[in-house]
Amino acid sequence: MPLFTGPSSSATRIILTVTLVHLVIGVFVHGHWLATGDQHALRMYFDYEGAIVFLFLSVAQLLFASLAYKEFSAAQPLGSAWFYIVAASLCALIGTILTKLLTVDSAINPINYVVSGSTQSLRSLLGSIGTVLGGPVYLILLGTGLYFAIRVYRQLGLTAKPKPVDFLLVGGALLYTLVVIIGVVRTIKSHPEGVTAEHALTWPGDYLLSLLLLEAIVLRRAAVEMGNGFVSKVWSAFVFGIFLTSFCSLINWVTAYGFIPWTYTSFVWYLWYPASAAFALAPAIQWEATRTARLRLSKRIEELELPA
Amino acid sequence: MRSALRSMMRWIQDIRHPSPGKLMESLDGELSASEEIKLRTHITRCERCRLRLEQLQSGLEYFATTVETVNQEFSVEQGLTELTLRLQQGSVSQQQFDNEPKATRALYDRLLAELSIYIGRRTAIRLLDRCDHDRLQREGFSRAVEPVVTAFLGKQAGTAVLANVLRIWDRTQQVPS
Repeated sequence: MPLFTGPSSSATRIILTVTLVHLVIGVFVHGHWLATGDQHALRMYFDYEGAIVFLFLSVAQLLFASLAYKEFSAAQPLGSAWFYIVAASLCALIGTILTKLLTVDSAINPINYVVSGSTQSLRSLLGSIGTVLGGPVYLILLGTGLYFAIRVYRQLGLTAKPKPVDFLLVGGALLYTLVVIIGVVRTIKSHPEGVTAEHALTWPGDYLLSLLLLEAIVLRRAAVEMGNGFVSKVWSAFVFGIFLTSFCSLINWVTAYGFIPWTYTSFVWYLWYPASAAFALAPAIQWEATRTARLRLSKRIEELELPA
Repeated sequence: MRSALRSMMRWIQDIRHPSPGKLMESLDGELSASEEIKLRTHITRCERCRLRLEQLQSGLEYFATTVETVNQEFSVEQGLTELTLRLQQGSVSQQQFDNEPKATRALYDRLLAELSIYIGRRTAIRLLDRCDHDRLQREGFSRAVEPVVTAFLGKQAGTAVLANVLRIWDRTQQVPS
């Protein structure tokens, strides 16, 4: 699906380029780590560059979601969708700041300079708040936003009948839910004392992700049926983000069971970046669609030599 | 590494098919020089896009020819006399009759290309089908398209799309039917 359509694709280009460059660097860093076992470059990559990239993507998501929301009045159904997406983006940004910046023991963590003495308990508390905001709360708000979007598709008669591949995806979503449930039950039964608050706080997010997956399947079908346009790209980007997040989460569970050694699934560490980029791309494309509409109209007005 | 990245980006852009909107922009001369070069490079390799561009080109050529005809000096009295004569004869020129579907086709293609940029080709086709594209009616078209574009893009941007589309319509309406 081409993303560079229309005269104003600078926002999506920047998001894609930053993500791509970060991933390319990641490939080299990962290769270096596998070859030498030196974790220094890996730590630098995730604690510094990775944190900044996540921060950039979260800011972009909030910025463009807010710009997209401004285009709608309260009475418009998709206005409600964008309202919840803005709220979700705000939670994602706060969650990113708390978990990727303030919780990590790095030189870019301001807590290290502001708070004297041990910061371990403070960092742990901030990490828990960030996990809840950037996990379950974010997913609830995003899920509500996507629900309103599906409603708009229905009202306009643009939803399509599910195809065999959709049933396959629903099967995958159910399998994911099953894996999460079994995982949680097994973890509690086998090591109840080993269940940390931080770990347990991610579980509601995993359940909510399976609901979001079902929404994503319906949205995906509707977007595919629309054909290649700005609107379908917006919702496809959300869908891609949800699928990728679910995949990463599934691999994390499978690794936690010990079915696959973590060295084989370590590539998943890098997939969180394109997932985050997809959530930032969706509102950026929406903003570009509105900008393109205005630019094209202003060109026509210039042709007519009328005052804009 | 920078040049490798650049060539990879170039390769990715090259394998993508340009959207109908991009092709229209090219025909309207609205693309930047670099975008035009990219599109032309793609067209030389892609049979599908070349065909689509030719279809749009022929539609535009037809449009230009008919506009030229209309823009010639025209006497109202002479026109009315001719019209009365034709009505009396109870017949309409077969050539004009043949031209009508062609004119509608040109309008249809332009509207489809413009709408596809935002709501996708399939949805644009569905919406145009809803307003009976064999004899496109402006009122019915606005009724079908407006709720969709404003629902997805917001009131202001949706109105901009609609205004742009109706401007295309106005230009094409100069075609005699």
